[in-house]
Amino acid sequence: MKAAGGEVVGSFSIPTTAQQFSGVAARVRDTKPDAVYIATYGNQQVQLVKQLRDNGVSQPLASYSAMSLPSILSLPEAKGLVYTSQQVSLDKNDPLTKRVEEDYKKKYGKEPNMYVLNYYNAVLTFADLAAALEKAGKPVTGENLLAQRKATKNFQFVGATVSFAEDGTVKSPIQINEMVGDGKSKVISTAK
Amino acid sequence: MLFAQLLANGLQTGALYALVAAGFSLIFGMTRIFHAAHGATFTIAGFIFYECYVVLGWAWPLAALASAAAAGLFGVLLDRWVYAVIQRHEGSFFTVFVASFGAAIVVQNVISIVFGRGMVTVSTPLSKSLEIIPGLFIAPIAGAVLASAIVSFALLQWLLTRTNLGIALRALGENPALIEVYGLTPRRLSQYVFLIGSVLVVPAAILTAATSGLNPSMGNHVMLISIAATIVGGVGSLKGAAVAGLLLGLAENLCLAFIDPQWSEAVTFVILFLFILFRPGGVYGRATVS
Repeated sequence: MKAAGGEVVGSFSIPTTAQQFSGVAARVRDTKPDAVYIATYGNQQVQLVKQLRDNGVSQPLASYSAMSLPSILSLPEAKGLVYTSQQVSLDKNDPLTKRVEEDYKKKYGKEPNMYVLNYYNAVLTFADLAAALEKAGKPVTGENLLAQRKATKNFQFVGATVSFAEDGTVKSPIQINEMVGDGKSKVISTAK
Repeated sequence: MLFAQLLANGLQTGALYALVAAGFSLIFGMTRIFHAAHGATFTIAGFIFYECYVVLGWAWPLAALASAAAAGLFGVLLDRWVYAVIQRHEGSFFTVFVASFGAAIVVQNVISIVFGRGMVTVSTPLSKSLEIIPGLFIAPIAGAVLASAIVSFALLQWLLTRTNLGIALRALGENPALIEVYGLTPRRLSQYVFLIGSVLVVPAAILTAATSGLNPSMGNHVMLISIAATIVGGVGSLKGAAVAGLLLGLAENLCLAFIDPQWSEAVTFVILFLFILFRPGGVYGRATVS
């Protein structure tokens, strides 16, 4: 944060089973932040965003790709929430992106969201590595998968090309999205 | 002002806890049945209200009535078809507890199948807080919470002290064998207890749906609070359970002024343990001779 010119004025951890956040909202308000970053996942995100807004937290909210759930995208209180995600261009013309987007829309009648794409890409990574090992006549073991991952320079994900750092972190272009209401979000910035 | 805010939040939470705890304490105190499915009753009431009000678009009084009917029916049928059967054959406290626990799991999974595992909310402008004075935010729904708790307890008090049914229910809690001498049937009275105890959670369930939201596993937390409040308040004491519920809600919120929110739920159990150690009879517990 400091390198980016910011300062963390308060941080609070919450149980993953918590459903009541009025007290947390009071503590957040008390720190008088310029923005509130939410780093949670799962069921409680909807309640957390709603209750922060209901209890007087009017500062901009920010988070990461776990926020891109349909239930949050359509939450009126989440309008204006900014979240990062890997850069995904669903209008990329490569066969993989086109196939996934078309098949998903055909089956579910909507665009795939970040959760869907992340899980798809995770399985795809495993499949690509396993296929490469089988082609080389090697057994598909954890050790071999790791070695194969390290030996592979780039991976074709849906909507993006990514690589892995030595420690396994995915190196992917990032985009910053803003929730605009009615279940939609728009890309407001990209970064490599 | 943080402390005042947490106090206000605590009163709202405590009022909801008092309602659910009183329902559990009523059932346990009068029937000696450890109704572990009390949290499931709360969940059913909340989701039925959500279905009727949000999905089907019914007016809220009608949705609330449907919710109360569902909760009451669940409690009565569970008593009639599960607890009564066990008590007729074997009557073991542990068997009844396990059956009740099993019923709670079944309800949780059925609700997950029907409504999904995610959270659902009843949207209302009443949940939006207003800044009453700088730094103090109170939502109109807080007034509804306190009013419904006061009205519910007033009605319960009237029922238990001013009606023949209430006197019979209190007698059931004191001596179930003796009431048969007066021509009363403990089994039939037990069903009234389950009906009243189950309906008591309905205001809390509806208001929770509008403030925190609902999810299929929420009954677990409700159950823990109910048990803790019953012990802290004194087993067999309705007043104790209600006071303890309020106390636990206040403690859960006020502690946020000093500790990380991660630990707020643990405060309930710290209070429980302290009472078990130093005042095992609870706030209004009665001394007994064995």
